[in-house]
Amino acid sequence: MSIEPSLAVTIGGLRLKNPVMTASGCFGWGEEFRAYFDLNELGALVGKAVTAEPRPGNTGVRIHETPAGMLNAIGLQNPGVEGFIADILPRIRDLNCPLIANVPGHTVAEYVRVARRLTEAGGIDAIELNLSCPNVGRGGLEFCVAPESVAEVVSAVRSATRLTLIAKLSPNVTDVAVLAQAAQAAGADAISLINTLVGMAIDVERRRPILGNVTGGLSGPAIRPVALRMVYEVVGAVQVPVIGIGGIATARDALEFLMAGATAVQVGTANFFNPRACPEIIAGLRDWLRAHGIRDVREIIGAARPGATPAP
Amino acid sequence: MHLVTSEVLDLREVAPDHWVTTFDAPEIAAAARPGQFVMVRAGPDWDPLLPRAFSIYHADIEAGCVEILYRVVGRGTRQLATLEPGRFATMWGPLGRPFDLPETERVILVAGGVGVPPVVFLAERLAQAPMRLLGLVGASSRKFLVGVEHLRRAGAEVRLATDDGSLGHHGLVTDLLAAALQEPGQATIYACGPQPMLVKTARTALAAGVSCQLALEAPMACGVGACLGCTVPRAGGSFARVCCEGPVFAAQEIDWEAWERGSI
Ligand SMILES: Cc1cc2nc3c(=O)[nH]c(=O)nc-3n(C[C@H](O)[C@H](O)[C@H](O)COP(=O)(O)OP(=O)(O)OC[C@H]3O[C@@H](n4cnc5c(N)ncnc54)[C@H](O)[C@@H]3O)c2cc1C
Ligand SMILES: Cc1cc2nc3c(=O)[nH]c(=O)nc-3n(C[C@H](O)[C@H](O)[C@H](O)COP(=O)(O)O)c2cc1C
Ligand code: FES
Repeated sequence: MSIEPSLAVTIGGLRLKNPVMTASGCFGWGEEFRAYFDLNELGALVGKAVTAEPRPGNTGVRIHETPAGMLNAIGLQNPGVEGFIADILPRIRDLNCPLIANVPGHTVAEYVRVARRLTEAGGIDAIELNLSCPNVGRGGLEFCVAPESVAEVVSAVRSATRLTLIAKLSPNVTDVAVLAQAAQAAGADAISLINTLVGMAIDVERRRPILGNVTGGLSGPAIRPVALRMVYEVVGAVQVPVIGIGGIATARDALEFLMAGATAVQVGTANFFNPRACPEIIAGLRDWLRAHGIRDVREIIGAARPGATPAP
Repeated sequence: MHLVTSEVLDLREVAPDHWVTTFDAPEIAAAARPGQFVMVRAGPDWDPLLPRAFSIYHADIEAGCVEILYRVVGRGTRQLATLEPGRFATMWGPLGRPFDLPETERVILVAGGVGVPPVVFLAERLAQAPMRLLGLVGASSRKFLVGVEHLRRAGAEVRLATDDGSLGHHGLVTDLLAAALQEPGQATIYACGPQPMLVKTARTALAAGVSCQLALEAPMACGVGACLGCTVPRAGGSFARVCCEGPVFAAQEIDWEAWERGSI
């Protein structure tokens, strides 16, 4: 007789019933997916970016498919933190899975303001800082490229909220491990990565960039090997839990990240080409563990790292 | 909303590069309303990655099947046109806001190119209704005029336009609309087709003060409202998602000028 394996993991103060979350900007606030599965099955729901003021988003073409991936330049369209608290939060706060808000900012003060309002409002369990934003105070260089600015944002938000704090890192940097260490030292409870890789596409007949914004973020299965390598590096550099993101579409993909040392994963683009991607990944993880006689998902976290117990 | 693995029951080429695929999808057929669409993935692989959006052309509730009519323009549509009967596709829908049914004595259906499917579906649903249906169908050339027989069978009078003059009016389908609006009887306009045709139709309707609903297209990733990739500018600012606030919009809801600027 086989025992039902445990999928539960812990990230900071969050207890997740399984290690599968949605990735920010790829799942709305879940409402669009209620018709396809029970959202309470999710380990956690990471919602769309919430900014201090409402943002209309970019004009022109916002998405474009590429080989096994897609480019997006949405421009952080959202109703702003007050709009979110008034209109969206009441509709989702009863969900029986942790809710994580993704918070971008152009200044340290903006990150702090949004984090504080979300904390006061209640109903949000964790904040994921989107550090891939131009820092107005530093000539527009993204926060995530310099360890000092990562540390500045993380420690400022740390003192403004008691919620679990996740620092989301960008792959468009020279040394992601150094940035992860800076986030950890400044008080982040966890690191999530990767955000999208900056890319572009050109319409050769019209001889101009396809996206209205010229460049956009590449996501989907195409980026998975890069994401996996970066997660592997960061797990080796920090002690806090790492959340792996990038191209995850099946349970096998999720297992790669867990074996690289990620404590949990986020599923983004896969929700677009399979609205049931998350529940299928959760079920697939459970099946894989059962088939391999493993009782607890935590036994396979880091299983592919040097020094881990070899496969039986 | 239903997510199904759907068997292809029929595949036929109705004009050069224009195909009709019939799917076995009883739940979707039962729920479908004119103007709505489905997302289709023709294969399990990751290239092409994203599903493709297609308007529902026919929904036969009794037979439990859904038909789409499409033109092969790229990899996704080419792959779909190779799915022979007996093969399977993944499909979800029906999606989006359908046409509001008319209350006027005349209904003018305007279709350009592969914009014909939602308009045919609407005509079929109105076949028993007491209004007079007028179908205006345009294409680049006579060999690409599709769906016309279906409009006639639904009881519509049909007028045609071709860019090359090979059949019907030599010119744009919107020229026919201007003329049709001169005729007596209060009308509602329903339109689907390429962007320039929609913009012209909306402006003509707004200028004439005639109620008009248009089914729009935009690049889509998810089709369900999650990616914010499919937005069009609303009149008065902000963006609307074509996949869930649309694809059908009333003429006065869209900022046509901003939409034209954004994607041409
Ligand atoms: C709500 C909705 C309903 C639709 N209904 C129909 C329908 O009933 N019949 C039909 O034939 N098509 C319909 N389309 C368009 C259809 O989705 C596209 O033709 C299809 O996605 C192209 O995929 P592809 O892989 O073949 O081409 P791609 O490889 O994606 O692109 C090839 C070429 O097609 C062009 N293209 C991409 N997307 C579109 C688009 N949305 N419209 C026009 N050209 C496009 C690209 O610019 C490119 O030049 C609809 C689109 C939407 C959003
Ligand atoms: C359409 C779209 C919108 C996104 N919006 C956000 C966002 O608002 N904030 C953020 O931190 N990441 C955002 N991302 C990045 C994803 O959360 C994720 O990090 C990335 O897409 C890689 O994962 P994937 O390959 O599974 O999609 C977005 C991605 C896509 C495709
Ligand atoms: S296609 Fe994703 S929001 Fe409309």
